[in-house]
Amino acid sequence: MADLLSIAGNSVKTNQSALAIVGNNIANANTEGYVRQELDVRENLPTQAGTVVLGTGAIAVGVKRAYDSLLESSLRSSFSDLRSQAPVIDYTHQVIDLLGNEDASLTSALDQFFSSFRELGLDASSELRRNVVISESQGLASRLNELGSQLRSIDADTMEALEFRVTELNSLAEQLSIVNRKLSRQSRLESQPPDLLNTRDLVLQQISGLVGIKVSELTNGEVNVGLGDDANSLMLVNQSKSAQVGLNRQPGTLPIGVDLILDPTGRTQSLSGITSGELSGYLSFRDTTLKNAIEQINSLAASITREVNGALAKGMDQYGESGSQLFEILPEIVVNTDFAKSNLFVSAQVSSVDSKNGHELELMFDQSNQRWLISDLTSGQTYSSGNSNNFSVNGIAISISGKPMDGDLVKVSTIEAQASNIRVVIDDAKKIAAGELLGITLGSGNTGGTKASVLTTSVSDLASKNTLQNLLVNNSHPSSAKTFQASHLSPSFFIGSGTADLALSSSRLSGTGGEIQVFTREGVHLFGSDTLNQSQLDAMLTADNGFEASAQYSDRYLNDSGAYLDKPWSLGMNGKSFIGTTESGEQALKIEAQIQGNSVPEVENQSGSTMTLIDAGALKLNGKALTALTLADGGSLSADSVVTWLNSNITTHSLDLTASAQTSVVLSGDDIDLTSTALTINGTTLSISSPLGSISEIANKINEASGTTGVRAVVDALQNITLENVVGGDAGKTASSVISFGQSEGLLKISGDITAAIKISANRTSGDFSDKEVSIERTGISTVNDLEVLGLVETLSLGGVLDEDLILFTTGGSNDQLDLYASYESSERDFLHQRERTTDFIFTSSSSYQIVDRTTETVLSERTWSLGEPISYGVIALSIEGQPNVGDVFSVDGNRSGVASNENALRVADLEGLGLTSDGKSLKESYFSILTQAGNSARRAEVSREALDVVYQQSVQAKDSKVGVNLDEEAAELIRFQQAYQASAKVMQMANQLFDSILRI
Amino acid sequence: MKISNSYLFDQAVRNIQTTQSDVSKSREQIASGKSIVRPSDDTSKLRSIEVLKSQQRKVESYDKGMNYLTDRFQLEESVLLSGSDILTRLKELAIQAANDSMGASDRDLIATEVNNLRDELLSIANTRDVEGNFIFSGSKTESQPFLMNGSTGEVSYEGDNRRLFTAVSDSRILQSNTDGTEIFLPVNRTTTSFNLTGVENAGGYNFRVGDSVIEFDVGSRLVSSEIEGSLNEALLRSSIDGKVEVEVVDGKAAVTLTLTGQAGVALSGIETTQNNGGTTPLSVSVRSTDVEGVDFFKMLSDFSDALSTNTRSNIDRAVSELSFAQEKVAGAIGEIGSKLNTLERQKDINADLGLRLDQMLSSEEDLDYAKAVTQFNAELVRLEATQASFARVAQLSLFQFI
Repeated sequence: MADLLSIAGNSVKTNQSALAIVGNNIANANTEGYVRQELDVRENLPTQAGTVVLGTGAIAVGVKRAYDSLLESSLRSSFSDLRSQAPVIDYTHQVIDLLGNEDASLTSALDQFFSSFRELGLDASSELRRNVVISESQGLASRLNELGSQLRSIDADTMEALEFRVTELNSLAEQLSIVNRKLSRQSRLESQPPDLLNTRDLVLQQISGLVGIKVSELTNGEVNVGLGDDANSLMLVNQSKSAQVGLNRQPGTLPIGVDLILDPTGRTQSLSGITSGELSGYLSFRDTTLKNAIEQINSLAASITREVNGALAKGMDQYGESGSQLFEILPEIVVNTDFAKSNLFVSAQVSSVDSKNGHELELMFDQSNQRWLISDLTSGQTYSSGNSNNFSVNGIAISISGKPMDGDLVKVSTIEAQASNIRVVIDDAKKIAAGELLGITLGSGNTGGTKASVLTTSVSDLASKNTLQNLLVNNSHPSSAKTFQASHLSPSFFIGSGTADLALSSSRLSGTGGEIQVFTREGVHLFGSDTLNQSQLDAMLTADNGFEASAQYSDRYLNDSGAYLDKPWSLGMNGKSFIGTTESGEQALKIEAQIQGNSVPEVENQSGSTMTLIDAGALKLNGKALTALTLADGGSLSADSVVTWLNSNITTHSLDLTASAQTSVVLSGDDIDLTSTALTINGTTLSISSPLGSISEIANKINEASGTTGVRAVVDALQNITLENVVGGDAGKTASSVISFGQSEGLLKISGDITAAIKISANRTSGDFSDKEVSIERTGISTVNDLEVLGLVETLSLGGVLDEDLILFTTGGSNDQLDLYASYESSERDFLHQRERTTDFIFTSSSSYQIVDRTTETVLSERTWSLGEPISYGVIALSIEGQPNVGDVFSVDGNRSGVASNENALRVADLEGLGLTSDGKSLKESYFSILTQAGNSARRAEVSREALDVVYQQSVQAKDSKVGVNLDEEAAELIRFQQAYQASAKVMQMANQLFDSILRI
Repeated sequence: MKISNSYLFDQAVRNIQTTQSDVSKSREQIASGKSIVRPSDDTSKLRSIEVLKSQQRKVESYDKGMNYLTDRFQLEESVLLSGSDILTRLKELAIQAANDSMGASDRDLIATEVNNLRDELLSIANTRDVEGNFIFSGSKTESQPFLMNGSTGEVSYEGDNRRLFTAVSDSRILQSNTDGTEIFLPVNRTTTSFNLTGVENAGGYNFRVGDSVIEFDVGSRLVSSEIEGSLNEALLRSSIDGKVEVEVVDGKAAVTLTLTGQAGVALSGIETTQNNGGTTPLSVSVRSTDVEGVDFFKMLSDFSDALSTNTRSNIDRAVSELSFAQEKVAGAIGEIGSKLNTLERQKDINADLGLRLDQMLSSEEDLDYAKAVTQFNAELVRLEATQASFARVAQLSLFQFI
């Protein structure tokens, strides 16, 4: 009986507890994270009474949470996946709304920009239309600026959101570690307070929303949390310890480079493998859509700048000049003072656009010298600021204020932000190059009724050819000469446009006959000899040798200085006077105009008749043709006879010059053998007993013997020794007497006879400081020997800047060669010089024309023509529609007054449809593709969000069906336990009655 | 499956929110009349909408260009029409002056009118448009194209011959200017030299130039200067401008007569005549012809000179040269007319294109109201049903029955 009572008593207690738990469930029906609880009731141990085993009722062993770790884990992972989509969708929509917004879209700005150029084409002289172009350009630039800065603000927004989420994650991890600590007090899961477990699950759920996690549960309910799919390596929470997550920024790019890292202050680990959770959503948006949009907008800005500026450079503005840049992108400078200990304020600006603007600079303060040491990290160069806090390096002006300390480090770098920094640099509307660089005018007497148009074309460059500059150093001394083999097959080198003030001298090695021939690319033979035969010319004038396909040989201007385009070019030798000023400021003659030759070579006439050494008219002295130089039978040529011939010509033409002959031997101190004692001059052997110690002692020795030898020596400051005749001395020598050194080389290392050389110099009276010139030039009928006969060095002199390319051949026999050396200046190739001239294309027959420079009447080229054939000469590309008649003239000039010329404006407008970007898209298409790509990625994210949402909702539902509180269920439970309670009470009552019955007995 | 109460409520709230947001979106669409309120609403249509709008803007830009060109061509046309009238008048005068009944004083009078007309043509050639640009100077629109030299009276062309083009559609390009020399074209003037043979003895000789029979006498001695004098006198009598060169070789006179004028006229105008009383006909052969281009205004000056010097042959030449000039101006007018027609047609094409673009754009971004309103109503019904069903479900609870 007692058993029955105890069974009932226990049952009442148990059901009471069960009712309390149901009540708790009802109370927490809407509590977030609450897990439905049940009383865990077990059968009591039975007792054995004899052969019968009797139950002893039920006992409550604990409260059971309706928890399923698998469901929890799948819920968490689906939550992570779902949450990773939200930032992508939201921010991609922001990007699309920005780029696709009609007021901000680049499409309309591009349309208006190109339309403004197209409409400028209607009347290129209109100031109004030009101003529209400027304002539309500014509109385009500011639209790009706006897009750039809006994208940067999205960059900043997502960065801020990331930082906020990371802080949230860190605080959740810490919460979880606290929960773990509390859980660690119990060793069994069953003993853990359910609310603590609920909190644990709730925190885990929140963490999984931010980042995908892997959870491992210990037996007592503590959890370890690993980031990503791996539960062991990247531990966020390990029992009661939690790690911090940080953001690792790499400034210097847009969007700002950022990585998620674990434990930024300790053992840093990269979290690049995290692919789910809100954090990864932000990162993936920044890495893909935002990065793509920023990069493409920047590259679009760069393409616009490059292409528009490039097109404008090919045109002419209203001032008649070739076009200037419309857009400019200055690099954006980032100053990093994080590494400076002291409080510095640094400002940096681009002071001049330079290719080195983008180099990263590192500035370090050097306290002891009070200066900044600047190193260019790209090129490795270092600079010093001097004692100043304002300086400029690589075109970047840096100004530092504050009190720097020793070792303070400042970094200055640039970022690619073309869209934010593009700006319009033309403010004068007239500087927009709408016109063509060349103008066309038809002769007023043209009878052919033809039409013509002209374009600017590019001239083929000499990149793959040998040029003068490549082969010859700029040095006028013979020692720098280079030897060229004679060849009709290929030119020795090109003298490129841009070469200035060239003096090219040639010295023929004795016995070889090489000579230079200079041509224009049109085949005009400018300098050389008229000895080339047709087959040689055919070999020379080929396209492979750099000649134009239309080149035809012409010797019209051969060796005719000043004739070709009035250029001061000549082949021969010349000397100019140089008038300087003395220290007291008075004018003084520094160098007299003169030509100095080498020894006149020996020529003896044994032919039996008079020999003509130089033909009449083959040479010109100061522009006057010289008479023939002849040598009578049996005679030999001497400097004196040459001088006589020259002076008679000088007298004939009343030239203000004097020719003279002089023998002089100039020896460099280095060339003398100081160990030798042998020296014989004019047959007199000087007595030298022991080696002479110095040059001056040698000179003294020679001068001691002057009375007998008739030769004296002078030593100059450069230790050169000069030997000359003593005129009128005892030995009876003249200035031009031969100086003989005997058979063997002595201490002067010279042997044989030295003959006189000629000198022609300008006459000058005292007080005359005018500029004078002496020149001896070859004419068309000269041969290469004519100057050599006189002992003169042939020099090609091309004064001024070359505005076309010349081709130089070395010709002669197969073994002939020539030594060439030159002095020159170099400037940039600029074929637009041609715009300064008026070039006439004159038809000489129905199938041929001449190209003539109008001012100088120089025939630049003679060509054949067939109907419809395009004509090009230099930068001129001329096309003629119809058949011109004889005498028809087409004149091409610099178009300076062609204010309505609109070709270039149309060329800029045509850029609209051209594939300009690296992937061959037009500017607008490439903008559309940014939009499309962003749209696609938004759509992809939306689709996956919908799919992931279904998965998530299923997990939620599955979990809910397990852990959720259904009030109907609880109501049923309530009734169930109430009934059980009542029944238990009844049992108790029954037991009591039973007991009473027994008592009554 | 068990559904917890909180889940039931959450779901209900979620459903109502979704439906409400759909309703709000539809309402927004109906209010704006656009199916796409924000670009992110339908990213698949974004590109096509942007492309269509961009094309619309391009069509507008072409239209602007065409309106400008129409104005310009109309100006050219009207100016040239008056130029053509003047040329017609000049030709009338030339024909009138070529009449043999005209005397030197009559021709002087005509010359005055010719000079006035020439000045008028010059001012037409130097017409400016409303913006002050010279319309016939090629691309040198700020330089007066036809400049008269004050002292010599010669007119030179100072413009250039650049042809400017304008795109009026993506594929069509029109020349937008006409330079002065295309209208006031140089006239080809042929100079022909003839050999007149047959002068071997003293006597009278003749030949014919056009309607005039030229008769001249040769003295007893064949002296070239005398023959030249006699022949020049005879030409002057017939008002013919010719250059005579005579060379006597082996007792025979080689006579060369050089006449200038249009090729056809010169050739058909000179021929051998019949034996005419006392004079012997000369045989005529062409020695050489040479064509030179004569500037339009020089041609008019020559005409005026011919009138004042009373040179009949040059007046005849002027008649044919003026016909040529008239034809050229008429040709230029025709060309401008055809360009105006092209413009009209292109405007129609562009208008059609614009309309089509509007339609396409409308179908992309405008709202189909019938569909939208139906959808809106359906969404409202859905919202109401969601709300009502939730209210009903929420009322159900076992607790009511306990």
